[in-house]
Amino acid sequence: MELILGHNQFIGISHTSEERGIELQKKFYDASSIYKVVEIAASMGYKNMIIETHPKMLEFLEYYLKSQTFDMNFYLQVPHIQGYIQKMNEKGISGLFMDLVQRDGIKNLSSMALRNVINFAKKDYFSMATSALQLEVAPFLDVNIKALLLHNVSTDLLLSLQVPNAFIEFINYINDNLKLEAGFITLNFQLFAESFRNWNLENPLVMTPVNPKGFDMNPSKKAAEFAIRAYRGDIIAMNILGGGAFSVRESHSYLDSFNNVRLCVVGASSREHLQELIEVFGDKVQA
Amino acid sequence: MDRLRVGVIGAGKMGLLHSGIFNNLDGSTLSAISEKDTFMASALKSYLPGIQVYQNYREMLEQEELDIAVITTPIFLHKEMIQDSMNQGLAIFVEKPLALNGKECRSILDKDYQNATLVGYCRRFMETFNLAKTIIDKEYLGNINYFNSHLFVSQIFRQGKGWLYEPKMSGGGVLIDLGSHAIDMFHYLFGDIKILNAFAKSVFNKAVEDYVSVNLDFKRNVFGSLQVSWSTRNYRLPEFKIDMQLDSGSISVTEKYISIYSEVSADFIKRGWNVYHKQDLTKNVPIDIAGPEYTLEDLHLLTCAKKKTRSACDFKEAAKTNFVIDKIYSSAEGEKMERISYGA
Repeated sequence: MELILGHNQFIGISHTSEERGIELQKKFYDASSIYKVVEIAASMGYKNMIIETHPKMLEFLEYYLKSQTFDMNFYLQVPHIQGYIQKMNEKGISGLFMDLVQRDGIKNLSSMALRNVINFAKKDYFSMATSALQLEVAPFLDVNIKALLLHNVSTDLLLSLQVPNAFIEFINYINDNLKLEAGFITLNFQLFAESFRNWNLENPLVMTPVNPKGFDMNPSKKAAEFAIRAYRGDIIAMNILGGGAFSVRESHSYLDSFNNVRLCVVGASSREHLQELIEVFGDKVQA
Repeated sequence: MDRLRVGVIGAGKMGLLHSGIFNNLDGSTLSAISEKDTFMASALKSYLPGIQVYQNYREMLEQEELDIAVITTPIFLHKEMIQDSMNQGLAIFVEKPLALNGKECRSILDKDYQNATLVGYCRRFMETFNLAKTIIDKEYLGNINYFNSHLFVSQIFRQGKGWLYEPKMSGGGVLIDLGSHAIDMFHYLFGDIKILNAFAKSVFNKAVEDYVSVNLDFKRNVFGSLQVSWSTRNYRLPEFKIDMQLDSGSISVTEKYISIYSEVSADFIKRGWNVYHKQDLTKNVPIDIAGPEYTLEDLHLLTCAKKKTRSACDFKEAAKTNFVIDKIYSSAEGEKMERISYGA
């Protein structure tokens, strides 16, 4: 079993309340405060961390590259396609790309290069999505990325519409162009596993909720458990603590009942919380 | 079980979301999508070979044998699309709000329509708010007397672009976009509103309001206030929070939790603090794309369409929100108290 440090707390996301989210935003306003917690985690044996294409995570990575007092591998979560669609509807394709290049990190793209990207993106939807994705992830590729994880809203939307070609194109694009492993986040694990089996696709890395309450384990806790036990690919368990709504001990013993779940993501924002996880999970933090 | 055939009008983010849900429910099948934009329509044609794709929604309504129309277009298009769907006798789902204003709602309600209708006020399908409704309806803590509430998100800090910020197409600013959820929830929890007075302010947008403050007095002897803004910093996701004072305790409820303080024991409520997170209350759903509430509302529409019953938020119920929003705007503009007549 390998514990992976989650990132939601660092960008002010709380699954229990917005008040808690705002507290976390205050606590992690400076990249140095994120770095300190990750540094403590690294000293306790954490080797991997989830990040997403969020400005706060970019600040943290810049600080990490500059300081480099420990080594960490990263799983990069990419945003949901629905966000692109919404921006495209509101601002057009050019507006979507202007928004993407106006972020920190890719300001150096020349207007000529941007025009070329936009012209290419206007060709078809696949070109648009991959161009947007490339701009989105570009500033985050200077560190060791283990895999790129597609956000659950995107995965579950494509799954619900049963679009095998989109999955195939995404996997090929990530493998061939970005030279990374492609993974998926889903709240509908049974449908995911069943669809990939029906489409004769290999079992990719999947991050999905696994918790004693069955929260976000659709269509039912029992069906998701059955599908998880039968899956032959790697699984990262998420929502194991429900953002603090479930006890660490209860979650740990539940997770332990799955022989094939060897990775799990945990959110921790302090030395004490990291320590508690170590105590409960015992020697389960390892590379 | 017969599957009801669904046609979706508008393949934006909400249209795709409902398309995906109806494509997976036992009681429905996604038959067709209509999307005016050529770029998006061609993407749908190439990726969804089993679904009929149209660029003209009227052609879809006429050529497909549909049971349900799902309308997820900008608000200024709702009225005409609803009326065309009514002419085909379909069950209808419309994303909120029902229409641009009360006048358009009256024109929709003019027709005595018998098939099921539902407007997408999705918070009615969130378990935290439903638990608050149970406590109020069953009077576990006695009568509700007073509340204060806010609906905040960090979304707009410079002039917005697109139809959402053009009042002729959106009906207004943050009040009709986000605040309509709050007004609908007030109807759901507290019943009809008697009088209100409001203030509104535009800061980042030229043509629509970014901040609204409303005081509301209800027919059931409860009053309270609402603050709405899409320009409140540090709210990554929208938060609708209602703090209520009742005879024997208090309730704070948001999308993520409900916290109950009680001076009495009543049914499942113990004396003192009772806190439930959505993780404790949320049920699993057949498919979850961006929150179980969307699946639950689509399941509710299917049930109502099959049983020919009224939905929890049909056009008549949802129109009440538009009537109230009209009065909030007139109160803010005219600097006066407004009495609510719900279109009468």
